[in-house]
Amino acid sequence: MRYYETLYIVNPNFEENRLQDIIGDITKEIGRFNFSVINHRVWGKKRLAFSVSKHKYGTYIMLQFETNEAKHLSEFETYLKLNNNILRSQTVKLDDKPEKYLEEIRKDEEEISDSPVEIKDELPAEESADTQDQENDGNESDSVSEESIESSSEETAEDAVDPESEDLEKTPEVEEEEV
Amino acid sequence: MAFVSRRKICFFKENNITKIDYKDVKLLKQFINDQGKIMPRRVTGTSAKMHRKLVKAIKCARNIALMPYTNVIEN
Repeated sequence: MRYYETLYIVNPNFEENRLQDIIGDITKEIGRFNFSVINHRVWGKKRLAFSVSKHKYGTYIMLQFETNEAKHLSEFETYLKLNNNILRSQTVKLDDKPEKYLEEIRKDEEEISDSPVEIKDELPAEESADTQDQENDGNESDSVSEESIESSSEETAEDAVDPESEDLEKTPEVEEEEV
Repeated sequence: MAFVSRRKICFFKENNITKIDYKDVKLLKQFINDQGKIMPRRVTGTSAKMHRKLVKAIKCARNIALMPYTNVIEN
């Protein structure tokens, strides 16, 4: 068995009833080709990355099916192309059998998908952070050198102020080591 | 100061991602620049294997209008 996924865009102005009609029509058409449907559902109304047939938005409908007869696939694609309700469609072959769509599973998936997204969002930040770190490293080295200079100057100053009292000289050195 | 090369690790290897879905626009958007071009491997640091998959996924997403072919930046 081979598994396929077709994603097609429908006019965004269509209402729920009309969408169901279109889905029903396509399900019928699939039956004609002996494709067995796994999932056929509305994926959601989304903003298109570029205008398609002068539409800025589109309702995406996802169809996942399995078949042994790949020869009917091109017929199905031409049917989608000739269908005036469909703005654009794309069929992709899947490696594994897709899971049956359920509302509960979908919620879980969203929760799962949300968590890695956060990690993904951090990636460019991390990269920038790396660059910043590098910059900071440079700055830090500069600042460290400045500090060392300052501390050395302080030490010399202390030396100048209290050359006789050795105990006082030792205590700040110890503190610096601890830091 | 000596030139220090920054070590880049493949994003997909880091997160144990072996398959890239063309519908995952949030993920794919990280690998295109402002113009909508696919970022080169030397910039993103992705492994050659995953970069090939990534490019296919981005092109699939473009075909179905999930991602832009071009993004004209208005000055």
